[in-house]
Amino acid sequence: MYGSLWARHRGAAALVIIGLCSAPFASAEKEVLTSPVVGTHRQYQAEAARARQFLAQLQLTQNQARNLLPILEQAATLHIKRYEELAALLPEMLEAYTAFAAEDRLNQGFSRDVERRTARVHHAEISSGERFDRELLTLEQQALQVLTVAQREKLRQLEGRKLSARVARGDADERAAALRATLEELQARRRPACGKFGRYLLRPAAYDAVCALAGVQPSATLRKGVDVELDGTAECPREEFEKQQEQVHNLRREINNWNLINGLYLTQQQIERIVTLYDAHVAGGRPTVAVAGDPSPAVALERAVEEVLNPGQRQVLADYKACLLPPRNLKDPVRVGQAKDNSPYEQWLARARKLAGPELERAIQQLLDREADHHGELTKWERQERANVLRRAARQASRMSDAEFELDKAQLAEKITRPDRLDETRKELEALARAQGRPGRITQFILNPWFIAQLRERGQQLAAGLTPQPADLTKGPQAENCDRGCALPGKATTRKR
Amino acid sequence: MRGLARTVPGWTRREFLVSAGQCAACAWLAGLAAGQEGGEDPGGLACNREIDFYDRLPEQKIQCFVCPLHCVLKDGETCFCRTRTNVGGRLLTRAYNNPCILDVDPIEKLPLNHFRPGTQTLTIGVGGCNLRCIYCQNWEQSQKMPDELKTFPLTPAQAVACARKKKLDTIAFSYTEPIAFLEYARDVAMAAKKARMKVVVATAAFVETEPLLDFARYVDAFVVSLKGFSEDFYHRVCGVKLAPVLTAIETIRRRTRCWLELLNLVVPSYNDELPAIEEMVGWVHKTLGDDVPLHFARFTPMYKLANLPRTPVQTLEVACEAARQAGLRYVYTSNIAPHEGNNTFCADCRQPVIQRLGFKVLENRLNHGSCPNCRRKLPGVWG
Repeated sequence: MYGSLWARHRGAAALVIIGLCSAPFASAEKEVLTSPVVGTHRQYQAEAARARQFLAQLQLTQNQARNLLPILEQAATLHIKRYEELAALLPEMLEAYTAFAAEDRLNQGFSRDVERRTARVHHAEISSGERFDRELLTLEQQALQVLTVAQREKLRQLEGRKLSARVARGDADERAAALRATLEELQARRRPACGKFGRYLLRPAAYDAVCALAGVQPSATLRKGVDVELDGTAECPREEFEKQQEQVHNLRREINNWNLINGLYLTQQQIERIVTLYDAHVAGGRPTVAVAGDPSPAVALERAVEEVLNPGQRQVLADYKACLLPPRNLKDPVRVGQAKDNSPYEQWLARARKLAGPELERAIQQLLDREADHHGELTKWERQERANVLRRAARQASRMSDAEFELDKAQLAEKITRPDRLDETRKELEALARAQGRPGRITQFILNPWFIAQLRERGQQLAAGLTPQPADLTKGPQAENCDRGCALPGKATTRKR
Repeated sequence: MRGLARTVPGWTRREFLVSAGQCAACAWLAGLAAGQEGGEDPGGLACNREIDFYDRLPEQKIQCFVCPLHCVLKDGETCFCRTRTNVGGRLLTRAYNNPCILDVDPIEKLPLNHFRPGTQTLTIGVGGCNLRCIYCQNWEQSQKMPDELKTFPLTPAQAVACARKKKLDTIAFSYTEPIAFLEYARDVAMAAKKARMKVVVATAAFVETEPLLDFARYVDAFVVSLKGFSEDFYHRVCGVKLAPVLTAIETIRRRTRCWLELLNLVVPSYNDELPAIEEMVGWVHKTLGDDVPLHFARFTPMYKLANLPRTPVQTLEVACEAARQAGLRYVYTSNIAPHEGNNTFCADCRQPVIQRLGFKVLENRLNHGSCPNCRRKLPGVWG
């Protein structure tokens, strides 16, 4: 089986390396020209072409290519593992997300089981992706060792080209370009990922090109890497895999949309007005997304829809982040008369104020590690500064009486909360876009056919109304009462202070 | 010792020793008196304040008259509210100076929408409750004795000082049932009044008239949670009776000068039937008038009713509409935001005069309590 598959893939790869080193695969060229090229294969070829171009730009020698081969073997193993992990997760994701979307559609909260299952598979998928990125990054760093100083310099230039191209293109002013660069840097800090070298040369599509340059035949592991990339595994063929991926993608989009629709609490009248505005706009043949050069039709629609929303809804939209599990302020807003839950920083302060010396230092380092997981790594200097802030706050809290601490803990916690620079930068960028008269969040989240379709569905739900079914109060849990006397026996309890 | 005696100018060693002895005797007597005042219960816990409303019965029994349960207690037993204990024939509270929650909240969280909107309160909560609501959202505090919780000492004077420190001029009792810590709440309220502060109370109002009126002398506003409108619902879901609650609400409205708002938590399939809601809003309109704000709050699965879904938004909207149809002028939705029902509308011109996002006031257009559009005076405490 591998033989026949490889013959086909080799053909695809051959297309990639034409011009770079045509001799070893010259005979296969004919095959690829006649073989059917579909989705994955087309993408594969594009990636292979990019890899070939990249190799040419870096001017890698045969010797360097040979030194890269053991690293490519490990990368191939990683790609296979990632595929297998995802293939195992996808059916679970499908099942969990389908149930979650069904409950989200009703807007009556989530049953515990459905919410937990969704959170679990979502987290498993994220963890798998992060692990893959981390391991691939390590391989990239090893691979970079084979480059000469001049090649590394060239690579740096290639990495920086995106930003300079943007500035040169003039699609935004310098401030916007700088903000985007900051955003990218912060994102990279939060979830470090490969640079171009890893993205182009450690992918299965590049293996043939590198092997050809090294003048060797691809090993069995590399072949398997390419096989999995193009056709999947026996347990989960690529076609099935992609079908499931698309279903998961659609479910995610549906859930994101429901989360926002549920959070906005649009009235039936508001829904009707938004849908009418959108339909009229589309019927007029005007674009709903910004078109380069003339964003005005999309902006006009956005402004019209904005008028329909009330100030509270605008605020919710301004703070909204696309999410699978709705954020707490939407899913479980603070209720009237509800005692506040302590924020993680308040909990940390409550613990830290009772610690001193090495125990306090350990608590500080643990918090810094947790923050790094969430917000990205700090530099050594930043970490020291932050440790000082936390130490000062813990000491301040320890000097307070219990009552003072209860009263001031929220304020103190706010003071030590690590600012979300990613979010701040994103908001700044959005404000800038708005000032420049470009479409914003309404276009991004609301004005698309999928959201509008779901909005129509919500409108129909509201129009249909509902009749509550009375519960049989004799069934289900009953409140304790005084029917058999009110007195409670004296209890020996331990006083907690 | 000798060195210390020398440091006090004009004192001989004899005088110093005599003074020290007198101090020690005073301290011992004070301690003895405190012990008698506070008392100890069989669990060895301090019960440090005597209750004002109880009767002594034979055989060291006691009958409490704070709430309509009228608990009869043998020595060592505690009231249904978990805070008042018979200690040797005297009814003492475990709740005094013993809060478990101290927080700064927007006044809209009580919820009070017609009482100084946009201001904040110092909110105090103490463990215990005389109700047993099976959906209680603060059950971890309300269904425990104060001594079973992590508490901190806070005298009435300290509570006022805390509010001052935070530059707040309103103290609120919420989260748990203030009737369960009425003696403490009343003394804090009294201290707050002396300091020219406002006092607001969120309660289920399952209380006897006399203690209520006594407490209300120091209170500026009440939010009463009217949990349902049938005896069956109150008995099975809250463990108490409805009639005394209605009496207490009427008492607040007719016999005190306190501002009053009502809250109804709409629980799916338990109290969300339209006829029951219509009956309730009809009673409110007939008994209390059309100016009492009524909040319909969304239920969130909680405590023993974790199996239920949240209240559909439509149900709340239908309830609001029923209240308006009955003639109530100020009807709100709570626990859903953003929603039109969060805002205050002028009863005449229907223009929004206060825009809110949940508990946050986004815009207050009221001009000295009047609608800026038609100048109608809105009922409430706005200054």
